Amino acid sequence: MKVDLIDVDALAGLVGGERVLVIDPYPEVVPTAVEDKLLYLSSSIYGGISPLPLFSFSKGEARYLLSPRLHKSLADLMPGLKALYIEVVGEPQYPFTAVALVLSDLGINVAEAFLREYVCPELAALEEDDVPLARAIRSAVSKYLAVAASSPSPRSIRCFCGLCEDRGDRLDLDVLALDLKRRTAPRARRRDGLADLGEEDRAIVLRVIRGLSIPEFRRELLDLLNRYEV
Amino acid sequence: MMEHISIYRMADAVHALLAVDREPYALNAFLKIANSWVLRALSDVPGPDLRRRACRAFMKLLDGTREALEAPAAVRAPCSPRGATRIESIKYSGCARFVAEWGAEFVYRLVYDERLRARAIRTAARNLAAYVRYGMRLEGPYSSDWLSLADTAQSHELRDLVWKPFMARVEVDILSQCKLLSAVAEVWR
Repeated sequence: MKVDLIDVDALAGLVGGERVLVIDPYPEVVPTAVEDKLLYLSSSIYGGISPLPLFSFSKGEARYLLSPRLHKSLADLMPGLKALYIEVVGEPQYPFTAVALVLSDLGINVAEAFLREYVCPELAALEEDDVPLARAIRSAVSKYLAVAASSPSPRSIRCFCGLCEDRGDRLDLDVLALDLKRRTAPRARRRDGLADLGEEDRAIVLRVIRGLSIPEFRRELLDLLNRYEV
Repeated sequence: MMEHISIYRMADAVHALLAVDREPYALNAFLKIANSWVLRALSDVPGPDLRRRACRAFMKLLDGTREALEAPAAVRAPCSPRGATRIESIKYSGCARFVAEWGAEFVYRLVYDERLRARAIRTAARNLAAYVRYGMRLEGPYSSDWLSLADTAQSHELRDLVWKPFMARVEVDILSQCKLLSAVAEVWR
C-alpha cells in the first residue's frame, strides 16, 4: 500500500489518465451533518487534511479511482485542502467492500447504488465476514487520522444485498448512518493541549473554535461581549 | 394560519433545531428564524420532544405547500450572482430565497457562512443552466449573468426535475433525520 499526501487542487491530473474508471460511492446530496463534520475535521487546527482518503487500485485491465467529487466540494469550501491518496499495490481482494467499510468508519453513508453495483457481487463471493484489505487501509490511514472500526459488518451489508439468512430483513440504511459521537478523531488532538479536558468540554471548545472562523458568528459574539462589557 | 409561513423559513427552523448539538450558530439562528408563526406551528403539535414536534409541524406545512417546491415553467432571477454574494440577513424572499431554492442550501447557513454562500451561488448557476436545458425559462435582466456563471458541467445527472433543487436538501437533511427520529410514520411522497 502506498500513501501520499496530495493537494486536492491537483486532483484533475489523477483522473486524466487512460483506462481510469472513476467510481462514486458517495450520496448524491451530502447531508449537512456529514459535511459539517468533515469541514471540522479538516479545519486548520488539524493540519488541513481531508479525513476522507482517496483510493486507487487495479483490477483486471482497469485502474479504479474513488471519485474526488466530495474532496473537490470540500476544497471548494477550504482552499489548500490536502487528501491522503492511497494506492493499493498488487491484486486487491474485495476492494469495493473494503472501500465501503472504511468509508462508513469515516461517517459516510455509502450510496445504495454503489453497494448494489459493486459491493453486492463481491459479497456473494466472500466466504467469511473478514476483509483484510479494510484492515490494511485502516492501519495506513490511522497514521494520519485515528480511525475506529465502527462500520457495520459485511454481514449487515449482506442483508442489504439479499444474501443473508433472513431475506426479508433488508439492511436498514440507518445502521450505516452517521454516528457523530463515535467516529474518527484526528491524532492531532493528543498534542493540542485539549487532552486534559473531558469529552464534553473539549467538544464545546472545539465548537467555539469552529464558530469563530465564521464571520457572522464572530461579529455577533463580539457585539455581545461588548454590550456586556466583558 | 399555516400559509403565513414560508416553507423555506420552516425548513430553516427545523434544520437549525436538528443541528443545535453540532453547530455553534444553529441556536442563534433558530432564535432569529422562529417568528411567531413558526412558534405557533410548533406549539400546535403536541408532544414533549421539540425536535419531533418540529418534524411534524414541517410535514404538515409541506403537505399544504408542496407546489412551492415544484419546478416552475419559468423563473425570474431577482438578483445577479454578484448581488447574491451580499446576502447578509435572514430573509425568505427575493435573492436569499432564490439562492436557497436553486443552490439547495438553507437560508440561514448561507447567511452565516460566506463559504457556503459562495458555493450555493455556484450550485444555483449550474442547476439553473441544467433546468433551462430541459425547457425551463429563466427570466429577468440577470438571467444571462447566472447562465454564464455555469461553466462547469453538472457532476451528477439530474434525476428529478419535477422539484426545485431545494427539495433534495429537504429530503437529505430533514425528511431522513425526521425518519430517524421516527417523527413521521408514513413515508412522504
